[in-house]
Amino acid sequence: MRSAKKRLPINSSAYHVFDVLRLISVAEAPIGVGEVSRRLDLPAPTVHRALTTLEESGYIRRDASVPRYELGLMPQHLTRTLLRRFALTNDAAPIIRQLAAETGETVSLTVRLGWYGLRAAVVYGGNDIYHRDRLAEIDLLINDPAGRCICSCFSKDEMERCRAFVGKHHAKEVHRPNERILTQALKIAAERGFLTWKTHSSAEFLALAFPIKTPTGECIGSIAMTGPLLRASSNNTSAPAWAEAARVKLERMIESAPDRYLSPYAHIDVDNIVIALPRNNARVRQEIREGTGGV
Amino acid sequence: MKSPLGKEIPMMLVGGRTQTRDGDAREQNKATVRILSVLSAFAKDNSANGVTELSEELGMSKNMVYRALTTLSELGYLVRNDDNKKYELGYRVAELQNSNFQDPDLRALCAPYIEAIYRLTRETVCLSVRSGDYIVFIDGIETKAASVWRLNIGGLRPLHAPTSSARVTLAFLRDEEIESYLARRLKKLSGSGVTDEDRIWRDVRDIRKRGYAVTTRKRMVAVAFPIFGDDDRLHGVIATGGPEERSGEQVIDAVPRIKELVEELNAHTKLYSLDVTPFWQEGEE
Repeated sequence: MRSAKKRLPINSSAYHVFDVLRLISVAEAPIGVGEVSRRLDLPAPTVHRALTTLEESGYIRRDASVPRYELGLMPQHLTRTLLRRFALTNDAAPIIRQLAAETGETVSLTVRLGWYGLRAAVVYGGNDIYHRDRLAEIDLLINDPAGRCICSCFSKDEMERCRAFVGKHHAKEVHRPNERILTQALKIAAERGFLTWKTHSSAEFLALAFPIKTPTGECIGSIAMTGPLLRASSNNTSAPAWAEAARVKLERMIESAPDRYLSPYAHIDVDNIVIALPRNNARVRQEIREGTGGV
Repeated sequence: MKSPLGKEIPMMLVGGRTQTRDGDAREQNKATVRILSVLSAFAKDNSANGVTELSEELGMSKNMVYRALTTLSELGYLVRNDDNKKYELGYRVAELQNSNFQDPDLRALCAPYIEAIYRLTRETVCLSVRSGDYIVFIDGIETKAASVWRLNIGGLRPLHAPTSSARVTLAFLRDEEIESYLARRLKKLSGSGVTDEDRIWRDVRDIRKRGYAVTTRKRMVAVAFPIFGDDDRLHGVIATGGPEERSGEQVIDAVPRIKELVEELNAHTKLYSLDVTPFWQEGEE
């Protein structure tokens, strides 16, 4: 978390408020005045004012009975608006829904945001065991299968830049898979045009993800289908027909209006897009590791 | 009102005790509230905003809006588009989410509103969702009065049943879905007398126009409101009602207030995709 003290004093109270909001965003449980004050090293009256202001503005909320706060509705509205800024979120929805109905598994769209992947749309599968991919989840591209699928479209230079960025800003947070295995997996994914990985639900079956590309070959996102879909023992050199049909449909849609699907942050240098990752990503990553996920 | 907000920093560190310091704190707090409301203005879609538009929309001075935009851009919650010089929602709002909490389900979201509606009408309130060709009642409050509308949790009603909850559920399906449903179901039940197709379509149009249902039958009055999810599909229906003689006026009079409550509830439910892929879609289309 960035320190409030280094900043220009345009309005220090505003900065305190956002520090408090950020802290509540990463907290493991709802927190109260005392804990916020301790963790941010701010006087209790300041924290109290910040909490009141945030609550009145809908950014945080609390149960009437306990003076502990959690995120309110406004941040969720802002996050949903962020997702809708990517035209794919709305336009790919019918295709995602159809894939989920056909497979019964959770299908999600991840859009590229710099060197991160942002889960912009999720449809949960109707099967009894379903995978919970959270909407608006954000992670480094190299950290999860949906992102790695995007990585598989990178040139060698781009992959170098991606690694350098991760080393610079997220050295501690990244789960570094065996470089050789990762490189090999990305190479296979690039050749086949899709990525497979083992999920928790089955050792014999694989989940799959495919990249979404513009006519110029730039990868703007990926579709991940998390569930036991492909038999691990078979050779899987080509994607199943239904996945291929969805990919073709998406890419035709993009071809008809390529500019529409550019990232809303295309005007910002990718190396300048730096996002603090939510703390519990570590837990998710642990699960992926156990499931040998993504590679 | 020219308040040099930037100058009063030290008092934040001492913790305000004297009158002036408290006053300063209040001033700063007001400024913070304004900054938050500028950010909130970006929660609407396609809100690329400039200083002038925002100052008109929010009723703030241009100077104040400008300061807020600068602060928010510095924090990364907004970004400035150099092409058109407007501000847009920034990617850092993605940091403002906490995955340690589960998305609430429909019952959890509706519970406080069911309670509030019950306090208004003092009549049974029930929440239903669609399950295939039926609606099923999943939650509610049954009134303590003597003659009551039974809250039958787990109870099923076919979609074409004349109950208000079923009518609202039917009304927010697509026309083709209604047609295929009626073609499928009404044949089976012919002769039972409850299946007046014209009546159903008239109700459907009426409900769509009004946005909710008001039903009076067998000396019972009921109102039913749709609850939507993030993709504007129907996720459930909240209905309330009772014997016409006792509660008729009371229920009808409460409609504007219930409408407000349901709108507020929809602001919550629209954040979530509340259903999984419904199993009945498999063979339907």
